[in-house]
Amino acid sequence: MLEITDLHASVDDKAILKGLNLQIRPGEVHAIMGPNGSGKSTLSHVLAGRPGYEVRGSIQFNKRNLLDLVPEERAWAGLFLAFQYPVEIPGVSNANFMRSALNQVRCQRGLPVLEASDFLKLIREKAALVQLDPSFLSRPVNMGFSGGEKKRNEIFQMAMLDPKLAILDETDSGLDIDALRIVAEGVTKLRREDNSFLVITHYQRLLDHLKPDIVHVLIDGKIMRTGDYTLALELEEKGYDWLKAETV
Amino acid sequence: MAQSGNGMIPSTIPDTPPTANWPTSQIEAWKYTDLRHLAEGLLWNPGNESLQPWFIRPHEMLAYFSGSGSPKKAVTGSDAFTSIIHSGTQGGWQLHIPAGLSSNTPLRVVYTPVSPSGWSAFNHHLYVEQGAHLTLIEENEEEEPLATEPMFDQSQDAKSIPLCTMTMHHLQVHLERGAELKLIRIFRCPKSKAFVHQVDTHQEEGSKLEVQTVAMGSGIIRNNVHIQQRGNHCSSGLLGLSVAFGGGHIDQYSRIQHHSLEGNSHQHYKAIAAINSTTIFNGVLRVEPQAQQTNAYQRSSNLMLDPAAHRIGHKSKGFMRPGKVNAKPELQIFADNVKCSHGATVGKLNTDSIFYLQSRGLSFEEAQRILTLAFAMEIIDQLEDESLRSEVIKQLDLLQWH
Repeated sequence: MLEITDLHASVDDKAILKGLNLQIRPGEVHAIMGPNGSGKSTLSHVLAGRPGYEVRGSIQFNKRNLLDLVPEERAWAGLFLAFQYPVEIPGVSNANFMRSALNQVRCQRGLPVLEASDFLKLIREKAALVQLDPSFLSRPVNMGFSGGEKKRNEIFQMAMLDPKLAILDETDSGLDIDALRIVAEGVTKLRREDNSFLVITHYQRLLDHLKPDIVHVLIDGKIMRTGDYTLALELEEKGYDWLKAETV
Repeated sequence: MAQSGNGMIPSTIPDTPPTANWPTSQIEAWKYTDLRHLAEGLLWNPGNESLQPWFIRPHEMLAYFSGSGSPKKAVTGSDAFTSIIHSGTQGGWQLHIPAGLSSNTPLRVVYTPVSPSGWSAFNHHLYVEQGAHLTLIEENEEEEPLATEPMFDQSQDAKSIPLCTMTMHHLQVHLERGAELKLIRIFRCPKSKAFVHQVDTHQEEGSKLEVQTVAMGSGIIRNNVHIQQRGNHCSSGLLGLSVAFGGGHIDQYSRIQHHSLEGNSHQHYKAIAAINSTTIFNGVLRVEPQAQQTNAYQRSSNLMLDPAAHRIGHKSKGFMRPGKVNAKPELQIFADNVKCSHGATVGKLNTDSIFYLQSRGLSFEEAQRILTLAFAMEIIDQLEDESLRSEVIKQLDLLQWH
């Protein structure tokens, strides 16, 4: 599904990703852990096509060269990024935003535009998945939402757009234990054999819920270690320093 | 700052072209829109009494309305603009609402295009007696629908294109004690035309005035709102939205003078300056020494659209500059016990917001369109008339971005 080869990314001549390789197959859940400043968020931004990065290397996504695509084309192709810091958009209601986005995506994927009643049914169903109060749908996007509500709104949007690959950029940060469980359960329900997840996190707790197939450790712009779920446990216990020491 | 008129009050349409004393950019109030420069080469259009350049939609208060056939009321005031109206007026309408009368339906006056060329001037009077309430909608009609015009083009801005017509309206309003007036206006102006409107309001004790103006186009629009709060406890609210595109130039000017006790006034103007286009907010708030306990604020929020943000930027040739915004709020306070504030912001669309919308599958252009509309919605939501709200949204929705 996703194949990243020798990916380099820099901002203002400062190198952040330094030759990253990563492969994700359909149905897999991958976790990326790593200390602050190792390039985790940059990786998610580069994948989603955020402007401002100088990028080299190759990213193949379902046999397409992702780096040739503008952000909306990546979304049409089935990529979704749950933002670490979701943006507040005054003057645009959540429901209208989702209607425009979903219809655009469906249109690009060759599906018919949803009837109003079907849209309403879908939006209620997906809101319930992350226990998002329906009153949030008529409010402006993320305006006045608490940190937890914003993150749930991200997962709600993900459920609406039904991506092939979803990147969760520190979706667990700022969540209390209950909200974390709700988000994790929501994501678990969305797992299928034909979709994949890339979960960026600092903590093991989210991974306890999600049970990733593969855990990567990102240090200084490169994947330093790849393992199964037990690697996350080891990191939780020992921290990153022993891995950093190995790289020197 | 003021310039005196020539004192002539025409009783009939003058036979010979008037010598207009055009305001120039040397007058502070006209700093950003030089009428003399714009009017260069334009001939005065004497008009035709049988062709009335406005119409009024059927309304219960129509009986209090009189057209240009009736004797013209004098133009009062002596600023630069009224001197033009003095010299070149072709007539106007008059409306006198008797005491205590009120209506829930808005009265709608539509100004129609006068002639294919030249400048013309009209002078209207509105008198609202004690305790009467009125909602008046003023709008101008244009032959070419604005929606077909591109949001920007590669031509020069409106000020450098020779004008073919300039239409000027002067509305003098008197609000008696406790009278209430809501004045809602939609002004549109296509390229190579100029539309200038000035309202002068005299407010007596306890009267309430709301002036809401939406101005959009690729031509030149100048909208003056002058308010004199002469009685105690007056309130005045000004709301404005400017959308300048395709090289348009929209100048919203306000001057509010507080003369009496415990008056309040609030102003909020928002403007969108698309590529090659210019918007201006120029507002003076003056609190005279006797106007104690005045509560007033003035706010101007502006959005500039940037060609660098447009993907087509690299493909297009020709002249292209970002939208330009001039914001000049001004407070003149001579009383010591008042609460007055002002603020102006100028910004571009937030690139993080654009990226967020794109990442959900909305195209770059659609993301820009949604965010620009959202910026305007704060003002549109406050327009008093539902049908006008949807009309404005429809027009903005149809604007092409490239």
